Amino acid sequence: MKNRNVVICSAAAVLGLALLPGNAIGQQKPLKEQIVGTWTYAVNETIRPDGSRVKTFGDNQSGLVIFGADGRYVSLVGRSGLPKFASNSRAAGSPDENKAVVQGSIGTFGRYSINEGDRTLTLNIEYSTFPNWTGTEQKRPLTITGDELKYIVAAASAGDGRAEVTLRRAK
Amino acid sequence: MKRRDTLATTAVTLLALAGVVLPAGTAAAQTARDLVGTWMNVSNINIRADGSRVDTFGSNSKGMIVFGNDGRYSTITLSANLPKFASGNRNTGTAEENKAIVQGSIAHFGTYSVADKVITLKVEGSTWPAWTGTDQKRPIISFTGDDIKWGVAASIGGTTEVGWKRVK
Repeated sequence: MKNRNVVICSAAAVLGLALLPGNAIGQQKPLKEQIVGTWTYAVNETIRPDGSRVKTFGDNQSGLVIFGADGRYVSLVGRSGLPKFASNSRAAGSPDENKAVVQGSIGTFGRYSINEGDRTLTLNIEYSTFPNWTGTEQKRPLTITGDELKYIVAAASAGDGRAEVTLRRAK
Repeated sequence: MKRRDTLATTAVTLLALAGVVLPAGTAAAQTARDLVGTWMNVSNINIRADGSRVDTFGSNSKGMIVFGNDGRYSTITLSANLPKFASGNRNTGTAEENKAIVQGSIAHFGTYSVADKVITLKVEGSTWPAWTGTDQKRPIISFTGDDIKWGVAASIGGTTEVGWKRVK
C-alpha cells in the first residue's frame, strides 16, 4: 500500500511537472513582456451609447502595431482597399479621396507602459493622424490571452462611444 | 632585394587590412539586421524636377519607424502642426481638415528586406493607397549605424531624401 502511494504520488508529481511549466509560465509572465512584438488588428468595433456596435473600418480592415522592447510603439489600422488618388499625388487628392483616407484610417506612435496591478495599457501618444489624440495619454484596460490581446478605448476616434479592439500576435 | 620584397609584402598586407577595415568604417547596411530597432525621422527633403528642395511635411515634421526583428515594419511621418478636428470626431472632419491630414501625413506598414544597399518595403497597408500592395524600393544613400538616409520616389512627385536617427 505504502509503495503504491509512493508510486501514485510520484506519477502525479511527474505529471504535474510535465503539465505545469507551459501554463504557469504563460500565466505568470508579466504583461509588459507578453505585449512586446508585432500584432495585427483583428477586430475594431465602436460601441455607441445606445449599445449598437459598428465595425470601425468596415468588414475588411488591415492594421499592424509593433510594441518595442524599448517602450516605443507604432500603430496603423484602416480599411483595406482605400481608393487610389486619381491624380497620383498625395498633395492633390479630391475632397472625397481625402475624406476616404481620414475616415478609413488612424495611425499613432509614441511610448507605452503597462500597469500590472490594474492590468492597463497606457499609450503616451506623441503624434497621430487624428490630431486630437496628439499629445494625449490614453489608459486602456488590457487582457492578453495567448496570442490574443484585447483593449478598450474609452472614447473612440469615430464619434460617441467606446471602441473594443482585438489584436492577434503576428506569426 | 629581400628587404624590398618584405616592404612590398608589408604594404600589401596593410592594404589588405585597410580593405577589411574600410567597409566597416563606411558601415553599409547589408542586412535587415542592421535596421532592427526604433528610428526617429530627422529630415524629409523633396527634390522637385527643377532641382528645388522643400521640406515634405514643413519645417516641423515628426516621424517614427520601427523595424521589428521579425521582418515587419510600421511607420508614420507627419507635420507636427496638423489641426485638431473641431468636431472631435474623425468621421466628421471638414474638407479642409481632411485635406490637412492627408497632405500632412503618411503612414504604412508591412514587411522589409535589405539587399544590394536597397531596402525593399512590401507595403501591406498605407494611408497613401497607391503604395498598398506594392514593393517600395528605398536605395540607401548613407548609413552609419545610428543614422540612415534613403531615397524615395515621392508620394507628391519627384524624389525625397529621408533621414532617420536611431533611438537609444
